[in-house]
Amino acid sequence: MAILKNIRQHSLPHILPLLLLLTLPGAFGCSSRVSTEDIRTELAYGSYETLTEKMQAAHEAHEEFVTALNLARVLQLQGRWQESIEIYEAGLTLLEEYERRAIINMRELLGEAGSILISRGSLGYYGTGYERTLLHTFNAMNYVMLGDFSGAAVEMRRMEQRQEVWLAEEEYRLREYAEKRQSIGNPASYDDEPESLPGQYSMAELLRDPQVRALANSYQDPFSYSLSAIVCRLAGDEEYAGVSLRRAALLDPAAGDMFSAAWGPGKGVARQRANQTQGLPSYDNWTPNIPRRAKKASAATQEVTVMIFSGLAPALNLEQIRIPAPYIGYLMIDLPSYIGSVRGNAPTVELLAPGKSASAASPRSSAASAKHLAAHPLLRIELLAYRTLRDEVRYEIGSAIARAIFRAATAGAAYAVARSNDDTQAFAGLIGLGVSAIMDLVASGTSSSVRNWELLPAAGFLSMGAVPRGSCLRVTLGADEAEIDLPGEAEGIIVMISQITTSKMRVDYVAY
Amino acid sequence: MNKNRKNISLTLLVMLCLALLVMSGCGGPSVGRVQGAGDTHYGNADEVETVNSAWGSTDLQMTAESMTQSLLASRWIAKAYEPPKIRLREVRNLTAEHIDTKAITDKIRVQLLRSGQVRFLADTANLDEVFAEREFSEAVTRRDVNKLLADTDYIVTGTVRSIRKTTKEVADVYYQITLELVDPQSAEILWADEKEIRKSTTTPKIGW
Repeated sequence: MAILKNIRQHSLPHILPLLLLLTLPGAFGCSSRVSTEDIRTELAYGSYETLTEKMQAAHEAHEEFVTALNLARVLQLQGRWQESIEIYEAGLTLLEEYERRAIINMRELLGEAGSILISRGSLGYYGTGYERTLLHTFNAMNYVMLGDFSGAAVEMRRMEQRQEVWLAEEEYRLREYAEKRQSIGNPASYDDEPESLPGQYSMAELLRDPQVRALANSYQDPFSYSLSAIVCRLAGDEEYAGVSLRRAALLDPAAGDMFSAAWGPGKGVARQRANQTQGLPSYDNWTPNIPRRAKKASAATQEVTVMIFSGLAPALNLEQIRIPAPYIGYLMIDLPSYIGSVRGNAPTVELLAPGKSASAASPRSSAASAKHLAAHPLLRIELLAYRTLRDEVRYEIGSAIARAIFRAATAGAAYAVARSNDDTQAFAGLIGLGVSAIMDLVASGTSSSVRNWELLPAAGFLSMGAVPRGSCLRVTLGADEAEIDLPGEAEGIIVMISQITTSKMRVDYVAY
Repeated sequence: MNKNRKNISLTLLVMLCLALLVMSGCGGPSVGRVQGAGDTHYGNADEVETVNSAWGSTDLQMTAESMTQSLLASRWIAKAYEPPKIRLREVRNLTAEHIDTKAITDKIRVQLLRSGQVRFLADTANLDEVFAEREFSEAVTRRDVNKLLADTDYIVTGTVRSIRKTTKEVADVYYQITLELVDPQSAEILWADEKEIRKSTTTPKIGW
């Protein structure tokens, strides 16, 4: 109450304009961004070219991290590899500038203050752990498609270093959170598990999902490490390939199984986990086998790696929730939530004998005799997004409540100040309402800047093996189907398939 | 008299100012300089560059200088009966940066050639152009001429590695550049040397 009185008497006329000033640029700056609705509409009914033009205009007008990532990805979806690399680099430059900022950074402090008092959108967005990881993973794929495995390997090494910075940042945030808890003096009211989430919160169930809980963390995925193993081997860095492969297998034993089958079993795989009866191999002490590249096409087989990306990652927005509060009945708080994830199709990868490709009278008829290559879902972006939110939801709730209280208190203070003045007494209610409306306007304006990397796929699959030279690969994703005649003279082929919506499947491959 | 003197002084002052104005104004264009609105100027290429901790021109220059001196001092070059023929192969980039390792080998080659103590054969990457030129000048390529192209005394290979550690306060990067002189017939490594570079960047405590 003393704070309220202080605000009422002295600070309100000074604080409010300052905060509005701080948040207004964010509110108006957002108008140049391409909205989630626009992105979804263009993807479903429009063309990638139109979306690219809109995003390029947004990137030039409002140079920010998330816009760069989305633009880089849409360029990649059109096979514009070099342009995509340039935009990923532009995004990376913004991220590195952010990472190099002073320890006590005035911009961040003001953003933090704005996020606690006005709107969550006041905070600059520099991606979550998994987005920063995948920036390098997806950029590495551009290099792969250009046949530059050395460049791709550099990206994968950068990916690991980026995680180090994220870890330091997360550690700092967690320490701050722990200190806040300590200062509250009632740690019991903050549950370590987000089980006490508001009932109306649409994400509550998803955040408690066992699959989300089972993830090792929110920033590492077995797909990135598997790709790292593949490209580092091709770039001649077998040591790093081995390290990456071990990490992939530790995150998901399915990755270890896949590589063991393709590259040989290696050493130290415990056939069965001591505490499990499912027969899953343990890769805790694994020394993977990294086969040397076959310089000459001597064998009857060739390597094939298929990366398949389907669906669309969920988009981040703010959800208004009403929570009970003493004295005033309820508070409206805004919490981040993920919406509109496009669940992709699970792929099937078939291998047809040489000469059995699309020219055959009935390609479907040969399916019975075709050999299947297993496609492992090693990249689950939906789960990584939910896991990130799960890790941060306690901090988000705390900030959302602080925002709601501040907004209510400011409107109340404005009303009280107006009432105490003879000239404005008659309009006190209107003034209070007006201040509240202005704050809501600014808050909703900055809220639209709460965005994430929306053009990531929902899931990524990896399939690999040795196949007879010149085979035909048939990949089916829902109603879409593609057949690729593998060039028989190549040592190996890496195929990349992307499908966001049905009838928009793109196939690219590179031979080495 | 005084008035006249004043007038003369004033006229001289005005003329001096005009002359200075003309000299300064015309100074640029008279030597053919085209200048835009921005601040662009030439710098010393040998100046130490510390824009950030990423691989830069100073690292390239230090590495090339150190490796060239070491290679020239090795007995395989210094005590050779006649300048040996060398081919530069790939220097592998095993760092987490997109380093153009060709720039390292190019710089070393230039410095070695300037010394006059070695001869170089075209890189494998440039051989295609050499062959194209030969085909242009000779309708039929003879076997013995082809052999000359492959007649290398030594090859030079190498790697660039890096270790980077980052905290909120400091970023530290260590580069290790290793080069080897190899006899292609016996695969014996005749000479090897390394150049180590360490760079640290501290984050300012307070800033905008």
